[in-house]
Amino acid sequence: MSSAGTFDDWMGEGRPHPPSGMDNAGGTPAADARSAFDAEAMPHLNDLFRTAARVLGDRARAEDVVQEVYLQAWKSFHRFEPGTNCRAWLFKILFHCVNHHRRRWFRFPLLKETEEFLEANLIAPEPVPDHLTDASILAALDRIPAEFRAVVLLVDVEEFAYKDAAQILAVPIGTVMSRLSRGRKLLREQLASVAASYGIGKTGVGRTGNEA
Amino acid sequence: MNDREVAARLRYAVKSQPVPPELAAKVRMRLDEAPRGRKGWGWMAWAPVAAALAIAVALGSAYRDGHFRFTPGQRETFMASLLTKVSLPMRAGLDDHLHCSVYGNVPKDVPDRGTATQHLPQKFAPMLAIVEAAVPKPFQLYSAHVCERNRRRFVHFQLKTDSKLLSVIVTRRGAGESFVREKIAPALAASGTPIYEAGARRFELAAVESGDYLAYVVSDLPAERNRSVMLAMAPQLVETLARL
Repeated sequence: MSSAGTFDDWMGEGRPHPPSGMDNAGGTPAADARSAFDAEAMPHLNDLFRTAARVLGDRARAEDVVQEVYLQAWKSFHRFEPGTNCRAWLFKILFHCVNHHRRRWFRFPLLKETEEFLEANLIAPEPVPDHLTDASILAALDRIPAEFRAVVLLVDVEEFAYKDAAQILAVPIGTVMSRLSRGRKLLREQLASVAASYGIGKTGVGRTGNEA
Repeated sequence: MNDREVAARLRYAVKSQPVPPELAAKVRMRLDEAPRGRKGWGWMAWAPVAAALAIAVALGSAYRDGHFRFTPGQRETFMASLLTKVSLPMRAGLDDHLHCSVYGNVPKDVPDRGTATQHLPQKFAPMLAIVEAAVPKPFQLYSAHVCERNRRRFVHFQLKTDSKLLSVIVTRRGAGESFVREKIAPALAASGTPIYEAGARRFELAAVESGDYLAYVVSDLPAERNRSVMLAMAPQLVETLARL
């Protein structure tokens, strides 16, 4: 479940590969910087990809965006201060890239549309059935508007503090809190709706395996 | 399920999603190909600022030297500011050079000798050979004429290269205009003729006085080159002016 396992697989014996075209053995400043970047940034690759895929709803685009995130991060790595929150920094770049690409790929959903969506959909919190598959949970998540989905992903899935989520999304902390509250309500409602469509009742205990 | 349980369930579902195994390799490849910020576009980001600064400094310097003065008022203000930088006997020569050569109409193409000298009074014709012999080769005579500035007349030899202007100017001494009377120390003497020098921004002046006349070499050459022109012509010039 942890992303570290995959990263360790990628890292082989846990040591960085000398990148092609760079002399890592000589301990040059460029090689040192690259090693530092690998150590700081690469462990978050999987989390970034999964968040990008959920926000964009498209794995191929998520791959492109994540590559771009790492490219941007590498180019400005000299501005990164060791010891600060590299993960939050990468997520901030991710959402910057996502917003950039969303403007290019889609028509960015206006807040008015979001409010209309809320008015039409936000009713009293629905009880969420216990017996849900990963696929049904992800399907419910994908149905809530992007602004709310982003906050739910950052706070509930990636477990960022409100303050970090606010910085990543470049919005006030109050906005994060209100979007999280609304996002959670919308998610519950969608989960109830998805469960009903699958014929899952409101009782039962346990969780299914990885079915997505 | 309460909110916390939903969040935990959601976290599990999201984190269970597979990541393309080749993604890490793709990222590495992109990083290997990319220049690092500080050496790459970190410096490039400052290039427009540096270029803008260089342009601003160049424009500012050019403005200080008298360029970009588009209206007569702006030009007069600039000329007046320069005249205050030199002594009274020097002002007439500098003023005529600025007015007639720098902001005036020097022909664009070098004319033939007859055209260039057609407005030179016969009385001053002997000076032509003296000027031409003293001025270094790249300079060519564009005009020898009599001009007027503030009700004062000047005999003006205008010479030019591709980038430099040089004037040899002769005028009658005005009231109170005497290097000797003002006790201005001569820079040096050429065969017993004192030569006086002054500079105002990019303009250099070398002058002599003879009888009723003051004669100037004014240019945007370095001081020593401007002086050497006057050194070369001073003895003959003074002698010719004394005979007028």
